[in-house]
Amino acid sequence: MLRTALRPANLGLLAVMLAAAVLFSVLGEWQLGRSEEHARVSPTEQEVPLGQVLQPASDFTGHADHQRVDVTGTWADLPLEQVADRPLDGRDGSWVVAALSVDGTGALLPVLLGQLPAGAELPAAPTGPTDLSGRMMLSEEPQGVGPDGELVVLSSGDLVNLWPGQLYTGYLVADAGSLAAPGALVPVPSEAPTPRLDPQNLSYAFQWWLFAVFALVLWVKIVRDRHHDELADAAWEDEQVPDPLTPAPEASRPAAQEVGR
Amino acid sequence: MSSTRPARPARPAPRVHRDPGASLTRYRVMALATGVMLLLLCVELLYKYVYLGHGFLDQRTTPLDFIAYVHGWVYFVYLIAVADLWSKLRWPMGRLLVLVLCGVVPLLSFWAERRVVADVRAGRSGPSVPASPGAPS
Repeated sequence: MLRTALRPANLGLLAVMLAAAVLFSVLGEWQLGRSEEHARVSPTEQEVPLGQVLQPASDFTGHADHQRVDVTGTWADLPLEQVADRPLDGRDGSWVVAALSVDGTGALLPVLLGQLPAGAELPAAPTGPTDLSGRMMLSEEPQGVGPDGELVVLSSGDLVNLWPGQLYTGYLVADAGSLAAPGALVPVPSEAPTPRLDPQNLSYAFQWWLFAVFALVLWVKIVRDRHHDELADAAWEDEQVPDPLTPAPEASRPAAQEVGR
Repeated sequence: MSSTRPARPARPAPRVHRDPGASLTRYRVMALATGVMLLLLCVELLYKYVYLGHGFLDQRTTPLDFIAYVHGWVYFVYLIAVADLWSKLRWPMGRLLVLVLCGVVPLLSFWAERRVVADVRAGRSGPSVPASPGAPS
């Protein structure tokens, strides 16, 4: 087996397979690097116009989820809504939501202005045109309006009963400093989605390493095949020792020709 | 004209499986699966890079991304099936390379599958298989 493996032809093949395995490993490393890179610069952190990721009254897709957007519009002439029971940093309070009429579509975007600590006075609703930055979040499951007129959850499905016209299916967590007069409102932090390795690149990386292993296993398999073939050849040749009792066919032919003459 | 020594019968090819049986079936199934996945992959790439116009470094995902993912794994199983059949039939090295590459060029795996089946049916197993009836069959 070892002697078969050490034949020049098989060593040359090993060199080829090793080169392939090294190449595949490098490609695997590259895909792993891409996987980490994708995790580092998540596309959600690059601010895009709202219209690029979400249209009014349409499905809230993965493109919009946690996406940082900027949006221009005019504060709608509607009262602020409050979502009950939203503690922040251990302080009880409610979320305060305003309606922004988005430029271009005219649809209303729920904007989370901040948390109103329990007992604090609700500031006046913002007015006029504005330019906001923030993070888009998926609407919560609608629960209906509570008995005290406060919302239970922040859901476009509930707000659509309070606000006229079309709504967006997500809400914007406005960055701190979005309001000219925040009053007692505490900005609600919006965190980037937890970075994770890109599963597709990770799968590609793993596949490249499997290809590398495959190339080496294939070499072992080829050497084993060749070794078995050589053993079988040698056994076959041993069986081909001439049998002295059986005359060779050529030897009898001259005699037959003589009889014919 | 006549030699003094008996003509040696052609050396039989040892351990050549004339009937690759299950290996051939596995190869055919995987060749078909790889061919289909490769066509689906073409559709996915056209959808992503032409229809949606994503750049190559674009990190946005599409609903068809799973195709590329599945294709990689199907191709790996195809490689194992190819190596198994190739080894059983003691085909030359070049044919292994051809079959490996036929799994990554669209439509070629279908053609290769037909060639392989035709060769196996015709008994063209490998270069060392005796052409003469001298060897016991």
